[in-house]
Amino acid sequence: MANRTAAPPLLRLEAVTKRFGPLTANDHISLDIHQGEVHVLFGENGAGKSTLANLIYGCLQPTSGAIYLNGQPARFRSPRDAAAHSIGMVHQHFMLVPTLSGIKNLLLGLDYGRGPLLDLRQAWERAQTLCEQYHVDIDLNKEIWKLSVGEQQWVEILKALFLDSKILILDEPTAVLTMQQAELLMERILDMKRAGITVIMVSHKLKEIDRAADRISVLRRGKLIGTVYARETSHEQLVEMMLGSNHQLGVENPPKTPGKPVLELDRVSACNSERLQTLTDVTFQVRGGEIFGIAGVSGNGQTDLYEAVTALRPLAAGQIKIHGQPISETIHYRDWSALKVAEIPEDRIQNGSIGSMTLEENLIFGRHWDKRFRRWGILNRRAAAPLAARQLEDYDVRPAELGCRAQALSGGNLQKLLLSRELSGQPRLIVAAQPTRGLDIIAEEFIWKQLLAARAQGAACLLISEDLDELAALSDRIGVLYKGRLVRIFDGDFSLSQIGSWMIHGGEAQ
Amino acid sequence: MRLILISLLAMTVRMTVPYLCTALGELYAQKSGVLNLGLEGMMTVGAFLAFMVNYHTGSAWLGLLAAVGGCLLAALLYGGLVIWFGVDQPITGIAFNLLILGSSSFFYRLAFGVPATMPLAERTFPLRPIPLLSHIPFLGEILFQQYGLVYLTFLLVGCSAFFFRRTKAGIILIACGENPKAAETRGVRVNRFRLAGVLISAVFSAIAGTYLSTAIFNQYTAGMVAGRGYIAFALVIFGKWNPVHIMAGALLFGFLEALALLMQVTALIPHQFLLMAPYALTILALVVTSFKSRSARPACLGVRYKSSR
Repeated sequence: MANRTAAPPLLRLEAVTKRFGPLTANDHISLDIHQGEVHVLFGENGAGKSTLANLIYGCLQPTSGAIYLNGQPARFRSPRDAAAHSIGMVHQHFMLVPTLSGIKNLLLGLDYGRGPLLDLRQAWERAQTLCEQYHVDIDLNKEIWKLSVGEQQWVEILKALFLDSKILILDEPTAVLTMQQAELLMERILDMKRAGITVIMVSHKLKEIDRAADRISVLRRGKLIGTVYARETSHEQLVEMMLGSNHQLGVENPPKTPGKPVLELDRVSACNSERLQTLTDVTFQVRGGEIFGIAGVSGNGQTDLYEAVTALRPLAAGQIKIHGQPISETIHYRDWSALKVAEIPEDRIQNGSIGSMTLEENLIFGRHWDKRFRRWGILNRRAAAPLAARQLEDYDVRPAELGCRAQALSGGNLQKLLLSRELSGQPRLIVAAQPTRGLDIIAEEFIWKQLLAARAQGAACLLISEDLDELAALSDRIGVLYKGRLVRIFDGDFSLSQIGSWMIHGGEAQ
Repeated sequence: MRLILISLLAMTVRMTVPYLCTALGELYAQKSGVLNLGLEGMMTVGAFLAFMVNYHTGSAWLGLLAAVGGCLLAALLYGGLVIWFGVDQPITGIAFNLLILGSSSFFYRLAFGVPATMPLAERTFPLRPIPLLSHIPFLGEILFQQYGLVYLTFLLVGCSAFFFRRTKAGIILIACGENPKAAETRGVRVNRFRLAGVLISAVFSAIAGTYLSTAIFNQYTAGMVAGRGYIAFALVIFGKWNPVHIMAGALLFGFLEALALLMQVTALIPHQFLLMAPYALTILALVVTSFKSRSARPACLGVRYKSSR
């Protein structure tokens, strides 16, 4: 890159290398970070972005190479060292103590106040000032576990700001946020930049880059491909740098040829575990060969709809039919599996897989009663193994080792594993909730293709998503869920802004 | 009647102390994320060493010092095994208890053979009535005519509550048990704090053991700890990791024990029933307290922490 700034870089990495055994996570990475910029580390899952961030923060030690801060060699042996040099980091998995209040989390491990006692009042005033500066409204006296994920993230950011961090590292900050929260966060990041804070953000989302980034360093398989100015670089160029080849993004969505209704909801109402009604009078049909998208701001009844349709949630009123057959939560497992419904739950770790079991075992869940896999009522592993192996290969799950435990997989690979299990049995109905949340572009595209392929084979698909781009790319029709009601169904021609406004107002303002 | 009531309640306070002191110590270990199931053994070590040193030197305080020293050594061994080598915590704790049960009897035999009369401690901790306060009718007689260690133990309840709410070390200890990684990113040496938690539990158990053999009973007998260590362990769970709740639980057990002693004299109810009561109550209490929306149990309790660096 041409040197456009005269001042020496705030932070300079020189040939930084990190090896984990035989794996090289970062390979001779040299880059400069300038004072006051928003610098994005961009790349696929597993490209080495997080490792690099952790090296800068002192969570990991480089195998070789050097880091310079303001032109001085800096070797951070621990996060505490980095913090002493005004570097703060927000980890992807929050480093918070759930049973302590927000304010105590800010003070954890700090030498703040006199002697051995906590100076809560002084800390409180300081935290309040920061909250006002960034328009954050959080009750810091509440224990962390009582806060929402978005609020928890703010406590994490406040932890860094509290220490007067001049450099803030954010590791995939939007992975856990809803779309609206993510947009808000980008606004605040721009505020931080205005306040003179240098932000290093790990991301694989083009949208975030458009919103906030000044410069982007693209990583691929542990190597730095290049550092570019966000303004001057198109999405196509970035994707090409990230993937290495001329990769066409996006999927083709051929016109629909709808068949018979597969899923029918008739005035369905349901309540959540606190007995509040969360679904009201929802009526719609999904036909074979059609993808019906459900849009909505998170928390407007999506989870409830998913659970109602997959017979996990009792209905308060109304009826759900699959292939004309009424279903309820008391349906016997074997009758349910005869309906051939593919289920892709929102929480793939909690509800979609069992982390401590192997890939092979995860692949035959739900089908373990299938004649192919049992002999004399005992699981027939010899029959299951080759089938499972082929599925891993077809869906490009890495590592493709049957004996590997599911918890060792990255998010994208775990989702591919789930998809291969659910889609391999020629399902006639697919119910998918947030199928690509937190995944990189490659995995996302793969999953989109699989859903479209199933649709081409005549399966009906209910796609619940918060990602409007995803809905627009895949759906034939889109329904908007607002406060538990299906307020509008868009058929064929729709604009994203139209859908967006129905998501936010539910048609009340119109 | 008044006299009986006063002596029952004063005895309740007195019998509460071994439970309370040990359970408070265990609270520090568990908050930091380490299960110390070796409380029974630690109390036995404390009781035995305090008695032996007291018997030979005639000093109650030297006895206490020896008990604390012995328990610290034992805790150092236990802590090293479970914190750094990752040996299973409950199993190590139980093994330790069995080892101490056997070896303390062995050393007692070695020292005294099979004595015709039980040797008594040379010089026990005396009762220390507090001036003025002890003259308050009723309350003063119950609360303020006690051993020094009784006052100390109840004082520790408040101190512990304050420690966990208002001190830097307190929240670090909590963080080590809840999310050790979070503590480490803030520069905390997690395993050192965990060892500190175990050492504190050892000191408290030592005090409780000393109190048994050289304050209230004046002699050492094999098995004299009689399950109090296990009950103290249960009290931490029963008390939901809160010092004040733990005190309430300990008082309940102290009361039952005092009642059993009284019944031994008056024989209204077969006192075996009351001897059984603490154990039955422990099970009942644990069942009742398990119906709770959010457990106060430290999230990483019993889980070994390996620093990533």
